[in-house]
Amino acid sequence: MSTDPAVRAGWAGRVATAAAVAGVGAVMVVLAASLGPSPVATAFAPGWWPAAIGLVVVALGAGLLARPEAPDDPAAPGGLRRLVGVVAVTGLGVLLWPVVGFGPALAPAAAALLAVLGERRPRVLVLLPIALVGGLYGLFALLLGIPL
Amino acid sequence: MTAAAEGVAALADPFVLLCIALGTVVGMLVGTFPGITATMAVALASAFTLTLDPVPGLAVLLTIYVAANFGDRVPAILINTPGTPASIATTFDGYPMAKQGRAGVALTSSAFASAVGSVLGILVLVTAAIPLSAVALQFGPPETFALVVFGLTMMVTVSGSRVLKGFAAGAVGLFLATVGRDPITGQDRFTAGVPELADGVPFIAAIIGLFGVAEILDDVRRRRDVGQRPITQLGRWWPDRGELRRMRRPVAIGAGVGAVVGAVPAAGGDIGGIIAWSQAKRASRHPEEFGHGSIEGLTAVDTSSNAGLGPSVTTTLALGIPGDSVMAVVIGSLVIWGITPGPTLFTSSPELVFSIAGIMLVATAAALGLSLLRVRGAIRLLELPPRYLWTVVLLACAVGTYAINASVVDVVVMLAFGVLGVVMRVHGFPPGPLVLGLLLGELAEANLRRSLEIGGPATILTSPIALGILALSAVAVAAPLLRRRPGTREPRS
Repeated sequence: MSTDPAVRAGWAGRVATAAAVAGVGAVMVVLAASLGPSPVATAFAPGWWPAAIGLVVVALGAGLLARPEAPDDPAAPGGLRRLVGVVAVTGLGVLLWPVVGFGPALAPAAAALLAVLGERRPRVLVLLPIALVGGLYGLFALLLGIPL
Repeated sequence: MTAAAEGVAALADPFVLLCIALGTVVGMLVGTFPGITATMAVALASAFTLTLDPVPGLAVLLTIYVAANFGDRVPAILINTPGTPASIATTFDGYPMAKQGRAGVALTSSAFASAVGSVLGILVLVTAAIPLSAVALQFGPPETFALVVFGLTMMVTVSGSRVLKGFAAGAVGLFLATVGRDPITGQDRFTAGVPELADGVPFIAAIIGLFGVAEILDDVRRRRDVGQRPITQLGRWWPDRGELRRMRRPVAIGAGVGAVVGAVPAAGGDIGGIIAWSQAKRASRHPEEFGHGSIEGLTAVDTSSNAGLGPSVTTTLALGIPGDSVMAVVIGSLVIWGITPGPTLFTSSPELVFSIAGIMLVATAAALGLSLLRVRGAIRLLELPPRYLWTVVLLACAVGTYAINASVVDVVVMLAFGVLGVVMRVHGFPPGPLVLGLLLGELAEANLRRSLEIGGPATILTSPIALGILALSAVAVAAPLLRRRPGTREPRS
């Protein structure tokens, strides 16, 4: 094996990706096996097709180990932190939506999203979320008649 | 009344024309903002259009599809950033032209080339859709299964150098398509007790997640939040006679390439544009100018990427296999409207071909008109910090997804697919094959099982059509793998 750290990191990444793909395939096979036999008289159990796909995915994982493809795409500085922040804020807003209602859940979520993405002006952090949530409510609830 | 007259008459409704006007503006804006793709916009718009009748709904979706292919050239030419993947090759010569002070000529030439390409593609749709669907009508389960396999392999082979990763993504999509009821026995599979999943993974939510949310998350991960400074000195606006003369041959090449590539399942305008650029360079008397501001290179690319739109719609609606990722979304909407794309569609409703062609033709005219307006203020939109756009689109994706079934479960699915999409992008897995697997999975499984239950593997192996299509699929998969054997040279880009 090469002593070059970059080459070793590339090799480790390749093994990790291949193992992850093979692992996903193995999970598919296990899930398919848990479905049991068909409830009606037919040649194929409900898990036959998903199990076949799982086996193909396991084989593709092995293939990826032997044949390197596109390398991983690194994030920009601070990119991963912002990404996690955006997903967390959006997820929280979505989960709060049925609990506190559309506006009270999504307006603060929009303000938090802007803040995570780098907006610092208080006026923008207040007015843009209100305008955005108001606009979406007007379009969907009032114009299209979809209860939010 | 003939099918053609009936189809065109459906467009006389002022509401349909309003939908086309709205779609044109939205499509142009979508194309102009890098980071918002036509697929994302059409997926999001499909949440709005589900409450409409099919013709006005299709008017919105197809017009966005057409107009985005006009708008995407603006950032490609002015900031060297393709507005959508279809305008990747527009940057090759468009941006050098703009840097030489010929941005105006580049924008108008590109708009004319796009319009010519679009019209020629629509002609292919009008002439080929009904005959193609009549042929496909003869298909039984073995042939349909083979056709689905062909569609899947084409998506994988257009994944470039990532064939294995493309296959893996496609296989994951096929597996996710098994969530819900078994297509033969009706038994629940992998629903985890969530009733909303009994009908399968909500397709539109998954699409919005993979192409809308994931693209934004990927932009957030990769980019600094700074708007780019466009070239604002547009220079001369109209091409002169000599330039118009030089555009003829590349337009013809682009139209031919686009028509063929567009008809191939899953191959989009990005591939057509790059192939047309290299073919036009080969045929040009001035190949040395290509890549340095050649009007021939620019027009070949834009004619090709737009000439593929009509054939892509043809493949989608006549065979039920999506011509590109936008068409995958349109299929999702059609199914919700109760229209099943495939061979029976155009034989039972031939007027729909002409309605669709009419919508695309009017959309082309409207998008060309907007493209020829010299609106300096609009260029300033490119300087807007992306964080505003990201926030607006993320919230619109969430609300649009919720609106489909009034279900927060759909929004959670959307977000999950968004995260899955960005993980896939980070590790080099193309998302397109996953969507195709998700879309075609049930069709593949049901037809394979029916074929095997009728008479075992012999049902497929004794059908010449199925065998021919499967052989084509094998060649399509093997060719790129063999081309990249150790010791063989990579093709030059």
